[in-house]
Amino acid sequence: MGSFDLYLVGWQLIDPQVFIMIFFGTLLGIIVGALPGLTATMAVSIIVPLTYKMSPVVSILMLLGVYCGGNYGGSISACLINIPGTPSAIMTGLDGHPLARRGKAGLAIGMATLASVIGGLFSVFILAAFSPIIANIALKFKSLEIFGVALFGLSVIAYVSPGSTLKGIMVGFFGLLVATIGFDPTLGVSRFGFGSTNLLGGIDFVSAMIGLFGMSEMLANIEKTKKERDFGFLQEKVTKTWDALKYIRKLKAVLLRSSIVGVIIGAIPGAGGTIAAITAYGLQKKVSKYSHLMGQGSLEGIAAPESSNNACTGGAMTPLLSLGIPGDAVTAVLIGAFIIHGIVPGPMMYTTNPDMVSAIFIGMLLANIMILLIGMPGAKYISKLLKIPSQILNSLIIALCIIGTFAIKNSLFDTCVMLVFGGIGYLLSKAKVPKAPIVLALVLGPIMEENLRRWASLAEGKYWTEFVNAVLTNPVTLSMVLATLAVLLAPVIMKKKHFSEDDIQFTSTTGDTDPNEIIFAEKKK
Amino acid sequence: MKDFVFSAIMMALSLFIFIASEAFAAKGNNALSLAYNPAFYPRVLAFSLFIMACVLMFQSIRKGSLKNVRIHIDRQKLVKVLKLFLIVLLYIVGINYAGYIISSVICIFLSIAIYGGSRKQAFVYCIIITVALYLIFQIGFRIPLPKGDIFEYWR
Amino acid sequence: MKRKMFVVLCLIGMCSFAFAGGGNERSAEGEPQYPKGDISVLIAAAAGGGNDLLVRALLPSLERTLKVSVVPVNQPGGRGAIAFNEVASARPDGQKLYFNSKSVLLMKFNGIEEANMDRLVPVAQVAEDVTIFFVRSDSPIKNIKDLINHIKTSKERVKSANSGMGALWHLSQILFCQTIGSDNILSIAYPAGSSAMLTALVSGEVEFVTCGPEAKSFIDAGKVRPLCVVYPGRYPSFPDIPTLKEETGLDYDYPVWRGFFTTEGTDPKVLKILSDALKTAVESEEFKKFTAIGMIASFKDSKTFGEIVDKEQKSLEVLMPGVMAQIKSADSSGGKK
Repeated sequence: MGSFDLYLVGWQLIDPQVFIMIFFGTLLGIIVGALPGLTATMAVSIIVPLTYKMSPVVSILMLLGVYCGGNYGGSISACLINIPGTPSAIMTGLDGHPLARRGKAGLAIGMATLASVIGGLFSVFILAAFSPIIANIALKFKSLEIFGVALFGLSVIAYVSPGSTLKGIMVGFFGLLVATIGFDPTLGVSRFGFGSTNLLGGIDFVSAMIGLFGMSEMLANIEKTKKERDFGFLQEKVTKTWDALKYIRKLKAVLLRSSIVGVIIGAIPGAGGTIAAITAYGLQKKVSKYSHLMGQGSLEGIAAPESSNNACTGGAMTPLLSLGIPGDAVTAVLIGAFIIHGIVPGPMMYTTNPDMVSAIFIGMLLANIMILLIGMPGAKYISKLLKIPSQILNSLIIALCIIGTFAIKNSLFDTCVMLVFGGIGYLLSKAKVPKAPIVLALVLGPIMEENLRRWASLAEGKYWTEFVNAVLTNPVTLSMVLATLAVLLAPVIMKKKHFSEDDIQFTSTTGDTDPNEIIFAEKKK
Repeated sequence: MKDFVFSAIMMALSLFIFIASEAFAAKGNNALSLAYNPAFYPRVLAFSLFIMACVLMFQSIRKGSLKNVRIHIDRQKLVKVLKLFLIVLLYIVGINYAGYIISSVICIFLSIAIYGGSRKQAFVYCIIITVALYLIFQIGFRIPLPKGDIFEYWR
Repeated sequence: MKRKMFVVLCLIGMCSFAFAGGGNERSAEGEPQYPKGDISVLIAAAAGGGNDLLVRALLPSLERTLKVSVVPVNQPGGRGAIAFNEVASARPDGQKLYFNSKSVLLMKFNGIEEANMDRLVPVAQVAEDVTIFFVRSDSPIKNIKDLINHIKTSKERVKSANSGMGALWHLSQILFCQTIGSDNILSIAYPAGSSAMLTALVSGEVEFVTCGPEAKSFIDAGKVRPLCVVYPGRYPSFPDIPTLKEETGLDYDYPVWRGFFTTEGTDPKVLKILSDALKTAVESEEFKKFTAIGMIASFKDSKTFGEIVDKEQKSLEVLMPGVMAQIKSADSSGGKK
């Protein structure tokens, strides 16, 4: 950690221009995040070359603003129209939307904003204080441990399926099977390609997600009459976002827990905001006393994923700064931004460019504060974007879904994937089968398979001995095994019937829940 | 009944996986190897899925779904959904052959109309949206939007 | 009302023709009109990666020389097959370029049948990579001789990482094994690339890794120890690392080039214009900044590059079938000498 110099010296680099660019970056990130069809990764990758002409500090801090803002922005559309604007907001909508439908849109968004800011700030402090230590721990993860993390994340499926757990797990397996399309991770053999070059590339999970949650929502929408479509709460203003402040104290355990999860997952190379949000939500559902309220408008269900996905930002920057290794997709692109400006991220940065490192800490701090300043009062203006008459808004979203998925890799195949999954998603909601497990499976499945099979090939047939060896010698492996076992066995041991079909009503997008029953974590305490 | 159909589809899918994976399954020594048989992992998944589908099917039969075979389908709504699906399909195909601008204008117009907008409103907004997206993507993000195959031959 | 709409639709149709026309069309009188509008460079890698940054570093100079927009398009799909296909089946007018490293030659052997190099023509090479051997910094292996001894004498197969079976770095290891006369290694794929390979090295999962200069940040962090480079002389970016030949007297030829290709059948005059423009770009300021991460700029014009590609293709035709067969028959139950 050293002296405080590291934290103060960056101020020299920050002048009014930088402030303004951070503001713009964050605002841009929030807007891009709020629009379904556009993702934060896309925005950052596209802006990197545009910052060529700017000074390094300005461009990198602006990109960090886009990064942080993007992770937050998705929650706005997730709450208001039940379509996550970015994959990392997938879990936010599960509670944010029902809450908004009850007329408490301001509260939902306020909570999402505060949680994002708190998570983000927490991760910046951790980044600044602990970067070398955390990065070192993450580096000790071998294939078996990474497999464990992925498995742990997947076992969360059982917890996030409102309604039938069995159907949730089944559709999760469906997702895992879809994830096997493409090249085999160990041998490079093509699987399920059916002769199509496009299929060989696998199914892009962002396109699938946009289809499952965006397109299918649009298809479902057309069934309703125009009146039904213009949801009541959209006519109301998104007001009283600051109301959420009242609940922060009671949610401090949730926020802390989820932020820690976010930082750790961010630090693991390859795992990003989406996984962080999913894991935090699942974890919260497991440990919460009011877990049966989650999925119906509980504030915990908003706070957990949002603080986690923003905490991921600081977490992902940690290995980037201390080791030059990106913690997630966006930071991988950020490496490019650094290099364009002649800075090679890595431990040498702390000695050769301490002012830059320090400026980054300060910049991320500022970006998170900007989220607060923009989100709280401004969400209602951003939400106005979503207030346009539904026929126009829906058509705009459809166009964005199509062009957005095309823009990811310049391929209309991705757009076709989007459409196919749109159809699948529509049919699934009709059959009352949860959709979230598919996305989880698409994201975690490949990681799980790659690492499991790699471990298997390294073990050269001596599976049991290698496994026992790892558990006994590596504390990380041990904790991983224990955590996964805990998640899988907990319901059996605790005999809590959270997940039987009879208890929980399936909350679909057209769910009718009694508006008189206001469910907040606070009320029950 | 819906559960029954869902589990039936999942069973069919599992069988399909087994058949389709023959093309790349390792034979002989490596057949049951997790590490070296590309088909092992998908087959294990498919097998588990099959078992779960059986369980679900059993559950749904017990709940009496075979007694009440009629699935309630609202024909009007279904037609609307299919129309929208076709519009999007048209958009995708159109982008490839006629380019972004023409397809966008036509399909967005149709989309607004099918959602209940007036013809005038649809017309005005389809132009606005097409132009706005063009500006954002082609100019702002510098992602080239497809120009359409038929135009390639006019040069 | 209907007629008005029809008229407006026609107007729009005509406008889109104009849009479709594309960028500038300046050219001197009498010269072949090249480039005719925007050039697109298809990069078989995701945005932000090594290949991508390299191309983007060349763009400003290319645009200055050719006076049109040069647009980078990322198409990592199908391990580069999609981008390959698109350029290979485009019109041979030099408007679509394809950028990749030597990996493009290996695609065909890895099951991507359309990646037939006859469909593309080389334009120019712009950079050069090199194979570097790494071990963990606290490993008992201090130099490449130790590693060779270890491989020859170890009872269990020595574990190493590559970026894909039959791909770039794996092939380098196979040639290495042939050179030292022992194949007692177990090389495992990390499709995510060099950073995953190096991370696995640092975590102790594998014992050695071969990759390129992108490992610079790991070297600087003190996490890995470079043992040697496989290069005709010392590699300019890392002059302190000895060559394989210096340390052992053995050597193998493995140039890892990165360059541009375009559709087969393109006019040689167009190729020359592109090649010259790329030469200028390689010497530009922006590109110099980029090569600071370790890769070296190395320009070879279309003729020379074409010869290099041909030569390598021929040797791969001989080598690869054996390699792929070896991979397919990999045994899952323990080491074999």
